[in-house]
Amino acid sequence: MKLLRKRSLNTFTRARRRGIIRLFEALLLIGVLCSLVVFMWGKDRLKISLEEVLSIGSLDDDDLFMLVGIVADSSKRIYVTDAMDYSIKIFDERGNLVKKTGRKGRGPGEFLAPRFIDSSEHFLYVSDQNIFGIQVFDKDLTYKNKIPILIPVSDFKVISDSEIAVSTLSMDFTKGRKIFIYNSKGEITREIEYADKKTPLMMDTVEIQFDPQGYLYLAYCHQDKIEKINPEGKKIWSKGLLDIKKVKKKKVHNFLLPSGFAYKDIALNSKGHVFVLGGSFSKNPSQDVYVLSSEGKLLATFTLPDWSHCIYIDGQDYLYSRANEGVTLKKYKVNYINR
Amino acid sequence: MSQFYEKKFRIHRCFSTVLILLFFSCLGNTTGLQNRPLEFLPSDKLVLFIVKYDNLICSPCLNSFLDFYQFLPYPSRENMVWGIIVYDNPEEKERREVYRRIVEKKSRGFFKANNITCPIVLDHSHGFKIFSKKGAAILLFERENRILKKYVFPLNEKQKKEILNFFNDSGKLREGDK
Repeated sequence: MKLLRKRSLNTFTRARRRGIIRLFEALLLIGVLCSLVVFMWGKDRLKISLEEVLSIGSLDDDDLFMLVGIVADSSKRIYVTDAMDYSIKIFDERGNLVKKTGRKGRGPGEFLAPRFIDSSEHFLYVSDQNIFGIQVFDKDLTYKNKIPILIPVSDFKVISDSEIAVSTLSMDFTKGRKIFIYNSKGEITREIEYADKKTPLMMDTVEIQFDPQGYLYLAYCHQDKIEKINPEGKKIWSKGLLDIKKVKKKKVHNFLLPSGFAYKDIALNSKGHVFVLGGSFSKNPSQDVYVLSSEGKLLATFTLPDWSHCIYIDGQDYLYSRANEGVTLKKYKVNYINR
Repeated sequence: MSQFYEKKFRIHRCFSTVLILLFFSCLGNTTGLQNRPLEFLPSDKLVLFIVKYDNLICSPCLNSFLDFYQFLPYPSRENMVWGIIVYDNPEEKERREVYRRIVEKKSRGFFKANNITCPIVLDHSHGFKIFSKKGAAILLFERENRILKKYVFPLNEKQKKEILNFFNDSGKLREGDK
C-alpha cells in the first residue's frame, strides 16, 4: 500500500515537473517571439543616404563666414544669414554669391546678430538675436519694413505674407507656453498653447515647423519631446527618442539654465516626413537626424557628415546643413532605400 | 611679502617682453589675415590687442574693445596697433589644420565687417593665452625703455587716458623725427 502510494506520488511529482518545464518553455518561446517582434518593429524601416550636390563657402574664400539661417525658394536661389559680417546673402543654384546686404548696427537693414531667415512668396523675413522685431526685405534684399515684435524670438516660420508664427524665449516661466501668430503689423492674431504647466526657465524652448495643412510640429530644445498639434491647438502625438532622464543645468548670471540640447532643429519634406536634428544627447551630437512619419513613428536615422546647428529642406526635398563650423553650406539630395 | 610680489611682477614683465620680441621675430611664420605686408616690424612702440576667438561670435563681449579701437587716433593706430587672435586647438590632431583655417576665415570676416584695418595675426604658439584669460586685453610695449603695460577690457577713464597718451607721445616723437 505504501509502495503504491509512493509510486503514485512520484508519478504526480514527475508530471508536475514536466508541466512546469513545459510552461517555462512556452514562456521562453513567447518571450523570444515578443523580443523579435519588438526588434523588427523598432528597427528603422527606411535607410537614408545623402548625396552632396552643392557646397558653398570654402576655407579660403570670403563667401560665407558664419552661416546661421537658410531658406531657398522656387527660383532655386538660396538666402542665408551670416552672423560674422552682419549680412544676408543670396546664392544662385550653382553656389555663386549673387548679392549681399547688411552691416553692423540697429537701423533699417542693419544687424547685430542676424539669425533666422524665412520667406513668403514675395518677401524675406530675418530675426536678430540682439534686436527685437523681424525685418522684412524683398527678394532682391531691399529693406521694406520691420514687424514690431517686442519679445525675444527663439524661432519663427512664415505662414503667408500676412501671418508669421513666432516661438518666444520668454523669461516668464510661471505661465504656459504659446506660439504667437502675428500679422504684418505686429499684432497677435492667434495663439497656440503647447505647454500648460509651468516649467523651469527655457525648458519649453521649441523649434517649430508647419505643414501645408496647418499642423504644427515642435522639437523641444531641452526636453526629449517632439510633438504634433492640430490647427485647433489639440495635441495629436508626443514622442521622445533619446531616453533623457534629466537635462543638466548651469548657473548663468543668477539664472539656472539648461546646458544641453535635446533637439536643435526640425524640418518637413514634401512627403510629410519630419526630420529632427539631435543635439548633445544623440550618439553623434549635432549630426544625427531622426526621420519620423507624420503619425510620429520613427522611420529612419541618419548622420550628417559634419556638425550642424540647423537643417533645412527646400521645396524639391533637398536637405541643407552647415559644415566647417559655419563657413560652409552643404546641399544634399536625400536618397531613400526601402528595406 | 611686497618684495616677493615685486619679483614676481618683474619676472612676469620680463617673460611678456621676451614673448613679444619672440613673436615679432617669428612673424614670418605666422599668418596675417589682411593684405598687409607682414615684413613690417614695429619700430619704437607697439600696441597689441589680444582677442579671444570664442568672443568673436558673442556680439556684446567685444563691444568695449570695438568702440575703443574706433576711438584711437587714426594714422598712428594703423602703424602701431596689431591684433592677436588667441584660440584653442581641437583635441583631435587631424582637425587642427582645418580648424586653424576656420579661425582665420571667421576672424577675417569679423574684422573686415567691423572696419578694423590694423594687421591681425593668429597666435599659433598659444603663448598669448595667458593675457586673454579675463577677456580682451591691450598691451602697450615700448622696446627701448622696456615698458610693458597690460589693460583688460572694459577700460576705465583713467586707463583710456593712459593709452591715448601713449599714442600721442608717439605722435610727437614721429613729428620730432621728421
